[in-house]
Amino acid sequence: MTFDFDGPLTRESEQELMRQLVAGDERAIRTVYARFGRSVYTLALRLLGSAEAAEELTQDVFLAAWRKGSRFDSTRGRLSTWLMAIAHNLAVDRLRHERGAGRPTLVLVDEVPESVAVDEEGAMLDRDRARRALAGLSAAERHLLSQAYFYGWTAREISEAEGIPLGTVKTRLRTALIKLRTAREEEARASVRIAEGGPE
Amino acid sequence: MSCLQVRDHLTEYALGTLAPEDSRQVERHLEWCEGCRKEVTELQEGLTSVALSLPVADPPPQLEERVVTRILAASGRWRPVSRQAARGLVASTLAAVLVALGALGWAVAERQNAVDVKQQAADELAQANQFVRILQSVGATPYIAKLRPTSQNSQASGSVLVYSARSVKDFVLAQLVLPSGKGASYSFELTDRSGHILSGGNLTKTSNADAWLFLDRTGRDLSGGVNVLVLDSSGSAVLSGVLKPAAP
Repeated sequence: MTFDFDGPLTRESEQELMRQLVAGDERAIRTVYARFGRSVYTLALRLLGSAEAAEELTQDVFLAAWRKGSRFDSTRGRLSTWLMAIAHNLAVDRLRHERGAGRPTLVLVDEVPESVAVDEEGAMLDRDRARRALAGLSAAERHLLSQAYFYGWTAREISEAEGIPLGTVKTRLRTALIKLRTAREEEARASVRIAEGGPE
Repeated sequence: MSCLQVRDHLTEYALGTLAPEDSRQVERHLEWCEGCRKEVTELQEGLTSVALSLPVADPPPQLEERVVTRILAASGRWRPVSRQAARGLVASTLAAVLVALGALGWAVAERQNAVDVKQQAADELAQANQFVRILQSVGATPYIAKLRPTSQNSQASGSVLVYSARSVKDFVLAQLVLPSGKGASYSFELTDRSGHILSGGNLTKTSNADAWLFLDRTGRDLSGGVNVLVLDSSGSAVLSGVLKPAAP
């Protein structure tokens, strides 16, 4: 079976892409980078706060993807989810290391301007879906997620700072994530229906 | 941990804010529990939206080549086209190895857990082996030494990597586990067959009380290095080893 890596990636093509990447196929490496390089770099830059650190982390993320690639299973989750989880974990590890044994203090660099470069089509679609999904959350839910994901606050710290019971914080965070996941799924299903010529 | 307990932690686990000890227990549970794995994947998919919604930043154009080169080199499919390319690759990989070694120290300090340390050590070893492969890919023969304690009762240990080639500056990198009571200090010596010191200096303590590092990137010719010694503050040898070519 041959796979087309030019259009939107299916779960099957993601699995094949990773198989080729693990084998050291240059085209597969470039394809994965073209699809996800900018997103990984963006997250790294927003969390670590310097271009140099973001470049290093981006290299480490793709190298980790190559090293752990045989464990990737597209039936369990999408490649974007897998790579962004690696990127977030490595950033947290790096911040913990640099700041000693304490809790990481993630840095969200709000002032970094958005790029106006032409985006790769698949990545642009992913980003649009993500933004629409996030717009579906309440301001309070977005605030809670931001405190945890970008600033590294634990549920207990959020609970104390906001005066909300710990259980409620955990429930709200979980609910927000499930909402985001559901919204993205629905967006993806709608895209497939449109591509197949069906009703929106 | 039961599924009920794990699910109480899963959101924070996905967010990366769970305490390391709890994270480890969750990971152990996820290894065998398909249901909880599905749940955490769904939460991570939600988080992907948060990550992907960020205002986009453009990576520098040369980053793609660095990523491609590092993976090709690590998989044994890359040969440098220039000395500059070889230098860049070795420097960036060395930086990654140092981060990994530092992370090992941090892990030991924070978690104090044998299983965890073992996992971290395995990851660090994988990094080091990968580094050796990269050095070999630029046409060099890295030399490594496993250091052994000079005293039978000592728990000290360590390893040394020496790289010497025309394409990049020579360097020596040592990672050591040594007792670190108050005021402890150690020094490192790399000598040739005649006993001349080619590289030496004080060890640097990492964030973990027992992990020490030595790195010399001054670029002196280290090709004649054979014997390695680690000395305590009184000048007594605590670790020793002999460099051998790394297996291809």
